Amino acid sequence: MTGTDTSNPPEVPIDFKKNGSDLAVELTCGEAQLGTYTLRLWSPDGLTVVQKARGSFFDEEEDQFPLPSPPPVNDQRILQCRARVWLIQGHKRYAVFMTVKQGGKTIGEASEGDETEEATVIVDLRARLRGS
Amino acid sequence: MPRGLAPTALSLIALGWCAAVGPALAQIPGQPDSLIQKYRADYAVPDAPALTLLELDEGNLLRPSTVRELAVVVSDFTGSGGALQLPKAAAVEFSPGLLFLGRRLKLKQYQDNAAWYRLRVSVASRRQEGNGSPTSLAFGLRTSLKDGADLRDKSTNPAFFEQASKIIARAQAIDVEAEDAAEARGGINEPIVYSPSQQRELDELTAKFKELNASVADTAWNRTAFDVAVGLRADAADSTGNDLSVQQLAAWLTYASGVGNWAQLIVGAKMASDRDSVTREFGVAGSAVTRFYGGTNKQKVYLDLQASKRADEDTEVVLSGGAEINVSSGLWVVLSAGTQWNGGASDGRFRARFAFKSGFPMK
Repeated sequence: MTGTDTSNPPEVPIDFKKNGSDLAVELTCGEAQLGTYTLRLWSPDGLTVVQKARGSFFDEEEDQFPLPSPPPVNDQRILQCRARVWLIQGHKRYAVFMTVKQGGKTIGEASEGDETEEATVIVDLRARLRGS
Repeated sequence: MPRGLAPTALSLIALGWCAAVGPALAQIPGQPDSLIQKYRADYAVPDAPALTLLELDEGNLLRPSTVRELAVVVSDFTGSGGALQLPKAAAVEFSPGLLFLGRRLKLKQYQDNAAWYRLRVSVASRRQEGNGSPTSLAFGLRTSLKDGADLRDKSTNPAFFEQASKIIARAQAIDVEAEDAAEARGGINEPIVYSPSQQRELDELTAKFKELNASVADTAWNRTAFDVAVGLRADAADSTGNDLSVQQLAAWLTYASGVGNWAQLIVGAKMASDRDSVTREFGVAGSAVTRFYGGTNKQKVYLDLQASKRADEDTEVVLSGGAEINVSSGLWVVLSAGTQWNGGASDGRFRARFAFKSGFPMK
């Protein structure tokens, strides 16, 4: 980990139906690891935060959030999940998923997973929502 | 298992074993390979139920162990005259839940169904010396209903979670400060900058988290555990699986409890139905074992008392002791010696054993 995080991960395009049901996003920390996250929904130009949520992957709260309604307002907006995973000794693998759902059905996902010797890693996931 | 299914099922097991174990065996002698570098918790090599069924001297006690996604265990490196040779017995053990569902497995899902995710399947093979000699195959299932060494289990390690939560919460607060500052400066691509004091504190928190993990792991070898297992052993007339027949069905219960940081008491029981080598009829056998370990994770001595009874035969009692020494990462030497009595007769037979054991978690 460095003092400055300058990497810009790619945006995963996720298509949704403008006339469909409401959108929601679910965050998952796989490999049964510990972690925390900040979820941001950015304006299409990536300069303004429209919605923000923070949480922990090991509390009792569901890591699922509804996106603004009606769905067309989210067209071209960018979802970002910045998570910090803490690896439990003996388990070197981690995986974080940001899953977008419409009407309860998965329509797209950004994810990152790997194996590391580090005790903690930062994961930055991004997805651009595209209405059609 | 119905006999009609045996050839197909055991062929698959044997094929899987060759695929999984073959490369590992080829990599053992020099030990510089990635398998050993990936070795994780260097606890004593726990016998998989399938391998335990093939171990002639140790089959009455199934030692508890913490689940790993995939592991290979090899045993019995000595041939006639005590010369070292390629292992005669080997097993692969895997957790279907972790191996196939682990990538998306949430911590809470694991904690809510820990016994299921700790369920392990093992297959093992043991060959006798010489080509064309009899071969034994075994299949086992086990799970840990309780495992104090499992750091992911909040119910058995509440202190770990309490301390880890504080570390993680403080790190999250630092992340939030840095992220919000970046958000205020610019957009999504604005670099997130940690001040020197924030970076120093994050480094300290990371070091604390590592220490917390290590402190729990160092003392985990003698934690409380409760394992249950079942297994099946079949023997074939040769290495190709001809005349394969089921020889033994077995079930184990094992409970282990720590005594301070230096000792562990294990009590276990095994119930088995095995085929008599002369009459070819199945008979019921039962064993009870108690074993006391003392020392540290890497060097310990033990005292073991076993009583076994088979059908109408005399009760066999074995009193033994030994040592278990970790000579290098993943490689253990087991020394044991003991005396055996049959039916209370005083002319007890002395038995001694020297063995290498090695286990390599592959994932």
